[in-house]
Amino acid sequence: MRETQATLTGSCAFSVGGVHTIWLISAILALVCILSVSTSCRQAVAAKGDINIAVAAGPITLDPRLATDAESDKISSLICDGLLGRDDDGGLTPMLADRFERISDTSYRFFLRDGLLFHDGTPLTAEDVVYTFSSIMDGSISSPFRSSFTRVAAIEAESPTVVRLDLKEPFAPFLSYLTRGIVSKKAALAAGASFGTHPVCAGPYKLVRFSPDNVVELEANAAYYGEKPRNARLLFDVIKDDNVRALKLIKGDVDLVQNGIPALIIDGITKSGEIRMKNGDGSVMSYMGMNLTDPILSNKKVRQAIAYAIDRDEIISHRFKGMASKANSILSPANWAYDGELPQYPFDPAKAMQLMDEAGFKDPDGPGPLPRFRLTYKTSTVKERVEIARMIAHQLEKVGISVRVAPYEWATFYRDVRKGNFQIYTLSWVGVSDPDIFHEVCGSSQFPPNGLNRDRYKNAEVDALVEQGRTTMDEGERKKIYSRVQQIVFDDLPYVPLWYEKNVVLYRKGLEGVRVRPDASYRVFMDVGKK
Amino acid sequence: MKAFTSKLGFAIIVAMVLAALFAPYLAPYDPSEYHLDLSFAGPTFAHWFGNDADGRDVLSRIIFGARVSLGIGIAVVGISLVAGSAVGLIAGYAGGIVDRIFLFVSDVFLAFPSFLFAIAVAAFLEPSIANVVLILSLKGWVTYARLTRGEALSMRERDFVAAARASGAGAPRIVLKHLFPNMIGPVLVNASFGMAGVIMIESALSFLGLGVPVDTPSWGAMIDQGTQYLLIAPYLSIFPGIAIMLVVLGFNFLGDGLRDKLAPRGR
Repeated sequence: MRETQATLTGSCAFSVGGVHTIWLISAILALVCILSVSTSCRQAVAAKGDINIAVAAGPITLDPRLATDAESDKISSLICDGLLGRDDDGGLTPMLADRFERISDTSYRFFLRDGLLFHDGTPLTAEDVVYTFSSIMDGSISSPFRSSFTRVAAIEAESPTVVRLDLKEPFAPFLSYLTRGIVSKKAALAAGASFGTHPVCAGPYKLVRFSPDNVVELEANAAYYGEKPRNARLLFDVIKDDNVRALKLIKGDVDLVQNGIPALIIDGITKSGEIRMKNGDGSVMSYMGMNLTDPILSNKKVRQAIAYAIDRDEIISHRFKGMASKANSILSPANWAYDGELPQYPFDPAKAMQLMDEAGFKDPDGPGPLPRFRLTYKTSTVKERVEIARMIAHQLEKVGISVRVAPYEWATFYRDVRKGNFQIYTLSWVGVSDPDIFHEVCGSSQFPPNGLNRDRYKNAEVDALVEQGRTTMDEGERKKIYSRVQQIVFDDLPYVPLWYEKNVVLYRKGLEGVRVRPDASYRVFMDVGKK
Repeated sequence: MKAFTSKLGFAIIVAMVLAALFAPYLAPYDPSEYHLDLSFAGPTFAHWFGNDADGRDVLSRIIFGARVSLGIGIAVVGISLVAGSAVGLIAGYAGGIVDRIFLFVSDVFLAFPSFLFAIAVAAFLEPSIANVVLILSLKGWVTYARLTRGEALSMRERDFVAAARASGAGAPRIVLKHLFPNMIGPVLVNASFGMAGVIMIESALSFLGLGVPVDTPSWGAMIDQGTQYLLIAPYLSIFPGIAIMLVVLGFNFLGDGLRDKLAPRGR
């Protein structure tokens, strides 16, 4: 719809007479633009072994040490392998290191595979592993992952294939940090800041072309140590508009789209039979955050009332067309530490009203126009999110809470959330794998600006448990600890868990080997091929 | 032909104004009521313009949307016209340093492209109707001020003004009683075109999510919401698009007619 905007811009001067023909033309143009959806001029020439994948945004950097946004992180995971990787269920698997041993609670030794080669043909040695983590830790590349590695006391190469890592204290979640890609020391030092645009790593694909707002082209790495990709090339086409993305898929310019088509229009796209759909449970958890320092929301009964008043079934069936499931914890049911006993807050408006009455927020005029209290609900300006916020607001209004939905441009919204400048908001947790997330989100030591406890939740028992969870190495014991944490948090309700969105992949019917992972990783694209 | 188009423009505007005034009686349904079972139900006899994603009646939303568009248009043009004319008349009649300061300030305002200016200010303020009016008026007054200043400058040496001055009339009286009535024509013509411009910018701002608050039925916001479903329900964007086109055309036709009648010098 860029044209419409341009037309409006071009014709929006407060002009004195004589321009009525321009008005006429621009009004007609505006209409024409609404009727015709633009398609970009670039035509991908599809070779047999090429898979075209449409993505909504381009990656910012492909340096695994710097990649934080979703596209950068996911695409760089195809180029750069880490010491460890993750399997389809989110469990840790060997990658560059084919095994490791735990020498003590704080010391590990990793054994690299033999004959590992970087994309440029140079061997990958323990030196490169040490360099990768040191450059994150010493601040020389200002990596956003630096804080994850503050517990590392020392890292050294014991031989060309053995790396030893010592921690300052026992820290159970640490292994999950070692999935970050390993880079070539020589290439990284030579490239400096531009390494992110031509990374040299040892993953299943090499980077061929990187124009971040247009296309990212990867070529299968013939020297890859593991199972080779089934396709010769992956092309990530950056297509920002939902409609254009869908049209290109229908037309065949694009072979596959993962999580890039709004659920409401999926039926319309798959109707013809040319496009297939697969979905699977996802680990992205959406929630409604509440400010616990707010005089209204500091009351637990009010928070629980809000949870009872939201009809998630209605939203999931209508807005997501069933492509989501109700959430009750930050952890998704696929996570090993998820507490399967956890109940749900069912939709129960009567209970919600009763709880608010008990909390002292009686409805001054019953079903009349006067509310019990007013809340401002902040959200980003992403249309789907605003529409969902609008639905939740309607539901809350039915139990007597007046809600004003206020969409903010992303930077402002995110800054307000981090500063605690909000009453309620909705956001999602993406990429949660270790239950240590509860330390970040629910620990009282983690209040913003430096921590992620944005709702300012404080519970002494939770604080003790999340510390204990960090230093307990036995997985069974950890699971018990985090079950308790999940139960307390579920009852205290610093945030309302809403739903886990399913991962949905739409693809042209000629493709084989398409699957989705709960973490929506792009590693699954390695197995996609054309018949 | 001109007479016909200006009558047509007038008729469109009268119809829109009536729709806006009597929206609660004309609209067949509550514009904000959800009917999830009617999601994306296309145009039918019960719902002439169909239903949107949440099953809200599109026709009812367009009728209520007329209130937002025309309301904002009238408010902005009203404020701009009064404020702008006052500043322009003073500057034009006083001349000298006052005029030069005015010219400088208005040049600064004119230097900003209208739409860019609106977006920049809107990004700082919360979406609300009052803020949209404020944003558009901030820029809108300049046009009227330049216009009236020019007219005042050319008239103040004319004989009828000199006669009024000779018979002892003070500056306020000359400006209000002698100058302003003589420039009502061009000002009205300008106001008519200005209405069209304001409605377009309001729609564009709402289209970008910077205009009216969520849930307010506004034509621009309706087009914006409809774009998500362009592939399965294009009418969600087309009908409000036609509404904008009609009202903008209406004001332009009316402006054309008014100019022929009131301001022949502009031809």
